[in-house]
Amino acid sequence: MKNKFNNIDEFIKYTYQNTTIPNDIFNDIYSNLNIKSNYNISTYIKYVACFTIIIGIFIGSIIFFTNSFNTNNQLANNNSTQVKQNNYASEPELPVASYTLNLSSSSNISNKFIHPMELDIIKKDSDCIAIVKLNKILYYTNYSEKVNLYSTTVLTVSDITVQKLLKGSLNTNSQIMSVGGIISISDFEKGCQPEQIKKHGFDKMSIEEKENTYIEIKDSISSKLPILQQGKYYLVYLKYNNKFEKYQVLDQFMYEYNINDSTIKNLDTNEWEYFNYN
Amino acid sequence: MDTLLSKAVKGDKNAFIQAINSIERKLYLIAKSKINNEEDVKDVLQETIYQSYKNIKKLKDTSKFSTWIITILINNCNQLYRKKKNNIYSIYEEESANELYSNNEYLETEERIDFLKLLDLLDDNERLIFTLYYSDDYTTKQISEILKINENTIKSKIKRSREKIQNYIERCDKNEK
Repeated sequence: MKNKFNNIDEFIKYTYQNTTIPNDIFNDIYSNLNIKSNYNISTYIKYVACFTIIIGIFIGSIIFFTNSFNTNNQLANNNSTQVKQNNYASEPELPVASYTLNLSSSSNISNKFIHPMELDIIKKDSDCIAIVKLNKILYYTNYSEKVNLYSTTVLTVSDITVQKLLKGSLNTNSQIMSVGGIISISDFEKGCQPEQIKKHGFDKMSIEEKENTYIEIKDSISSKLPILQQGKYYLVYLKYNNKFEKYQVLDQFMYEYNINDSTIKNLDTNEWEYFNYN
Repeated sequence: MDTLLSKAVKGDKNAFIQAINSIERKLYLIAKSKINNEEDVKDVLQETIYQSYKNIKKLKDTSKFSTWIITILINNCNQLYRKKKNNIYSIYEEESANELYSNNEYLETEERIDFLKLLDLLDDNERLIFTLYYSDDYTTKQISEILKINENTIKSKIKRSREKIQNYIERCDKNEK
């Protein structure tokens, strides 16, 4: 060996190059690589199929629950998404306002007590006139689902029972709307212009703060309306609101009514006066 | 080789197999330097080739393909070694009958000596270093980086391995005479 190789390194490299490598090992490995590759594709297909099924179930669930939620809302004749109510709760809790925001206190709209001269106009303009019992304040909203629009006008939706129908037709048990109500700042903000948001300082509030702070929104109309109380009677002049698909109290014409002596409360004097429709 | 690897990185399986073909000898002998059992060698090689095939897309520098796959192979060998060690007997003990050259003074003739027989002359901790050094012309510094062992230790192991082989050759020569 010494004669054949100049040094030990040369000999080692010679052995390295002349060592027989069992080819069958690598051939088997390459064959298995094919199998493993195919296995990977089939596994991949399985994963994709499972993923698709899961996504399908997930989307199906969302559609189902959305439909279910909408159906419940329709049944309740609830056009609003503002009151976060549990579908299974019998009595949704209404929010309590932290403070009041009077949007147009400088308005020139008068709030005079109903005068005989005006009565003819109001009678004509109203779709319905009725003495109703306010059973329950259902919710507040500033959103019209029909036109998909938020506004700064907040409405109170109440459940009523008609005691006496003076004009038009109205189901004995109905829902009516009146201007003014309590709403979270985050919802109210959706109907505001940027300058209004800045003016009221909503831009400086956190999202959480806006979601958890409720304000009573009043304007020139609602500021003069009687404070709505469940169980009390009211004289209402109603006009049908297409946007909300409900009867709405016509401007400021909603008066507290005493069913015992047929008197209504004068909004200017706060005194009870006899009411004669005719 | 670079073209092959570029294709392999893009998912060309045939290019990948061709790239492995070119380093089959190196992979096999490195595996044999750690494991003597032929079945285990096959398993480790298979696992290594499969892992590298699966992950070759992550290889950014194709010039380091050889070092990369060798590192995977060594890790797999070490894993098997630890697994076997936990089962009490070591890998080389399985085929202790093969460790006969130095012990039994069974001396080969030149034509019958191959690299695997040289490996048997060496200790466990010398075989891998010795194989890396002679299989791919790695420098001692590169080997020290791959194995994370001090370079001087690498040098001393190679020197010791050389001496062992030198002695063996001398004994063979005497035998021939």
